[in-house]
Amino acid sequence: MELKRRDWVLTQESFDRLLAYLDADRDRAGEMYEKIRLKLTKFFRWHGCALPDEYVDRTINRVARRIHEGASLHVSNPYLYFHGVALNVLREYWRTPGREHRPLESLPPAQAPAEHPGTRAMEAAQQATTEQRLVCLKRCLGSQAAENRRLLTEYLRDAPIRTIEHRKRMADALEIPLSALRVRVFRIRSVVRDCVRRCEMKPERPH
Amino acid sequence: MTDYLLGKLSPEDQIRLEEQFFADDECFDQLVAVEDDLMYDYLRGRLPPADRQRFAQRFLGSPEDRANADFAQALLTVSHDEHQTGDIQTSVVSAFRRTGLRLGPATTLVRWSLAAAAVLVIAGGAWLATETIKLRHERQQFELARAAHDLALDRERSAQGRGTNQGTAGQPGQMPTIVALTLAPGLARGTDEGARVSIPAGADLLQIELGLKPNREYGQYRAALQNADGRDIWTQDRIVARRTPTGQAVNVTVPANLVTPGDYLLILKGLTARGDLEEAGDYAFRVLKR
Repeated sequence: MELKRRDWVLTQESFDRLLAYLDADRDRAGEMYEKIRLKLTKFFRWHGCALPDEYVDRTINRVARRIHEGASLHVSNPYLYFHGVALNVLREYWRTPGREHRPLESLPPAQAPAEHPGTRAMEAAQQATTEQRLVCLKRCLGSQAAENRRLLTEYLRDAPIRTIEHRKRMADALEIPLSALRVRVFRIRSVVRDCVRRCEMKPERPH
Repeated sequence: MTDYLLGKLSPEDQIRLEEQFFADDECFDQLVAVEDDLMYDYLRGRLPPADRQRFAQRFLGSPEDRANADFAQALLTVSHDEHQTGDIQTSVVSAFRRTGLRLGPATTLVRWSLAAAAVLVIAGGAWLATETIKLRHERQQFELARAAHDLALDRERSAQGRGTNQGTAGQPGQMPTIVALTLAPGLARGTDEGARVSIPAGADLLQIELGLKPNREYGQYRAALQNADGRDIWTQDRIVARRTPTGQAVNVTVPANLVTPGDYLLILKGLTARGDLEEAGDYAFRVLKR
């Protein structure tokens, strides 16, 4: 079984043409490009692709190649064109045998014949990582505005009523739709998560 | 949106929703937020059993997924603690304010006695409230720990391939045999000190985790597998590093049929900001086939 290789390389010239297709303004085109990448990544992830980046690249390369070769892309919305190409790439993915990728850590011992000499050290390091994560999380939550912190804890609270009812009441109290509340909480969580990642990467300070 | 994320929509409805979120940023933001909420619902045991299994198969498979789950678990724990702390303070202050005692003209002794009694009543009430909240906290900690245990079990079940396969409706699932190997940089090829891996007959993929040298990080990597003759037999570009408990690492997946018994060298190069490739590490291993 051989992995399929991309047989067309995205050059700077073809990338520039792709951006120009998205928008005449290069800054806006760059924003659109990043948004397309994000949506494609989620699309492939939500369809079960373990390595979405490869398929995102494949999709973008195909669209860029068509533009580079002078094809006229008659679509009202460039995002939908990318979606159409992504569907074809996804269908090829499903036809490829042996496409499932499982993370190393999920493999049972019988399928991991090579022993890692530092297994015990890794387990101890993992425990330390968990403890450090909690410290970082408390610090990052503390750095949030009180209102954001309150919103986050209230949203996650184990309310005595159904979760959806609890959140609807929260949304009503804020006079915003439930969908807007959900997105607001997600953005706060994303900021906290990024803060925790940065905090975890820092070396420990001496006591 | 939840049904889409759990793979319960028909192919036509999937495409319809996808067209919507590709064309509409608000719809996309909503879907991403629903995906995030699902993680918390999963960890708190709020999903029905069938949905729970679907979620575990779809959203707990990769190291990044598990990092998200670990973060969510930690956030649930910490936010629960914060909420309990707030409750204690609020409840004590509210209880004190609600007494509404009005003291008319009275002797100092009576006033002090009444004040002392009020303090005792409030302190006793606060102690009872604290104990009740502690017990509730312990119960919820137990439930969080049970959710974490269930999470670990679901991961193990996913790894052993039980239940339905992930993917669009009607697509058959195949579980290839994958052999795993972890390598550190710097071991010489052809020596007895290098890592060895046995690849059983019928194995499909060789998945290799390459530990990275500290303080040498790049945005992307390129991996090339050389055989004993020094010839490249396989390459992979645009590899991104991830964080592991022991440092940064990259994962590569090589078709097992490319690696016959013998010595190999995986050469890793990092892509600099200028677009140049720099040496990032050499990884030697020996393949033994049964």
